[in-house]
Amino acid sequence: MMANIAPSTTLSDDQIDQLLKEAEVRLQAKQQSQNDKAVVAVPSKSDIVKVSKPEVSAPKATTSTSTKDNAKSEELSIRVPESRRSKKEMTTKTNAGPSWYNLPKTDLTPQLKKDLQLLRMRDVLDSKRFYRKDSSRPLVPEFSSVGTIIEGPTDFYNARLTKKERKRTLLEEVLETEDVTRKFKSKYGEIQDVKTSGKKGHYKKMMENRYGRKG
Amino acid sequence: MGFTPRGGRGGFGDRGGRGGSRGGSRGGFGDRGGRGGGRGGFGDRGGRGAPRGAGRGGGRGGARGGARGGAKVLVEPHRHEGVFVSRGKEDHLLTRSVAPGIEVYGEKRVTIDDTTKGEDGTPITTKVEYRIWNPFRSKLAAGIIGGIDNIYMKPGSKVLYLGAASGTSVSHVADIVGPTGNVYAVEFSHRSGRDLVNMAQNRTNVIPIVEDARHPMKYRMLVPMVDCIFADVAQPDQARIVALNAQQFLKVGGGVVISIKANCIDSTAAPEAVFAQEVQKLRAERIKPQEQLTLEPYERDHCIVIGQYQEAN
Repeated sequence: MMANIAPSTTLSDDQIDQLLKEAEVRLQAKQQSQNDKAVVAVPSKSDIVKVSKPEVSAPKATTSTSTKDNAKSEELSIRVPESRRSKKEMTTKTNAGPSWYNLPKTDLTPQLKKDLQLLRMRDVLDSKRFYRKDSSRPLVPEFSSVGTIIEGPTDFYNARLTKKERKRTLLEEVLETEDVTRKFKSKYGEIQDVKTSGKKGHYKKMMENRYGRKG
Repeated sequence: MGFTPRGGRGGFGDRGGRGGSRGGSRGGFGDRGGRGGGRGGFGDRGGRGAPRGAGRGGGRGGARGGARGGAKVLVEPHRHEGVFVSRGKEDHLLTRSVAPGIEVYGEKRVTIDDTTKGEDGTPITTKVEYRIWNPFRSKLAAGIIGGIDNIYMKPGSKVLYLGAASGTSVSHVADIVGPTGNVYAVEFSHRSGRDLVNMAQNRTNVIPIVEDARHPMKYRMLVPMVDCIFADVAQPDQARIVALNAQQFLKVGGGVVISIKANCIDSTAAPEAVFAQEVQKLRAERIKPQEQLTLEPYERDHCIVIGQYQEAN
């Protein structure tokens, strides 16, 4: 994903945005291809709502005309059921309420948006760690705030980041780690080594694999 | 909902190793390691102040692994009221500390500085602090990550906590119920009762009671009617202890959350049989079981049973 990332200082905001977007598209395509194999496409919720809407409004109209007089029914207008507003539109709350001690509404800065995108793709960052799939969550949580971890007093020094390692956002932290570990760069190199070596030995091995003889 | 025993559902991320059993695993949710080694019997709950078992149990792997001090995380509300989740390179369960700046047992914290402009233009900084709740050290946390449906505790509740030990879990329950709620923490052992009292000094909503939970009459003057009883007493007559306290203090429709350790009830029988037998005992005591959940990746042969106190007929 970030194989060709140079030290973070050289990346502009637009470039980061672009990279994140590309990565998202790639991962989505990958997931889609897996899903297609597994199940036939299920109609989404919005599709179902659209289909059922005229059916709901039709019986209402007929019942109202049959029960009331014709003269009256002219005056009465048939109420067209309003489409249900989405959850997002309904809430105008500024915080999560007393149940969650007034956790404020998400302040979606461009930095936070990038962090959220990154969080969604975090399983790429460490391939050895398992993350539960959270595709059902909305990208932007309704209520949230960004905090900093404070290490415990009994923790060893490796349980805290040094002053230089501390960054303002998750994205900067990730870029910093890549600068230090060069994991993606070396992985990219590994793959390139295998893919691009076209020397004699490689060619022979390839032919042997393919035809079972030395070419 | 029907009452069916469930297996532990997937938590948030990879669960770290259990104590010393499985080295080198990197925890996704919660701290690695947890309580090193086995626990003692009643009262002697591990982990007080000691530089937690993590030592060399689960904590290998150098700089990687648990969340490191200074890292940025996103705090979101959890499904249960008063509980939060932090999301970063790994996820954690959090509770909002009622005593900011003070940690209870060496846990990590998450701090949020919020600067707002006052009326005269001077910036006002409010500091909100959350404490990380380790499922390896708290059975309630393990249950919440396992997917309990209802914990019967929320901001403002009154909770009777039997088997409070040193007050590590109690402090998190105190965070959940907040300044408007109360936790009545009963612990028999004087040794861990001392730590409990120390913890309660910083948390005004905790009322420590160093008494035997078998004799609720001894502390009847201290405890009002409560919304929920949490019991982690690991005694063979656990069901009876809970029933005695429920009769005395629990309101009708209130919740009973019991952590059962199969070994402590009957070490020869199969754990499942022990759990079923305990649930039967609870039924006889007018506690209608609603959920049963094993705490498997976090504790061995433990389960949490949740019930509701019924009216006498």
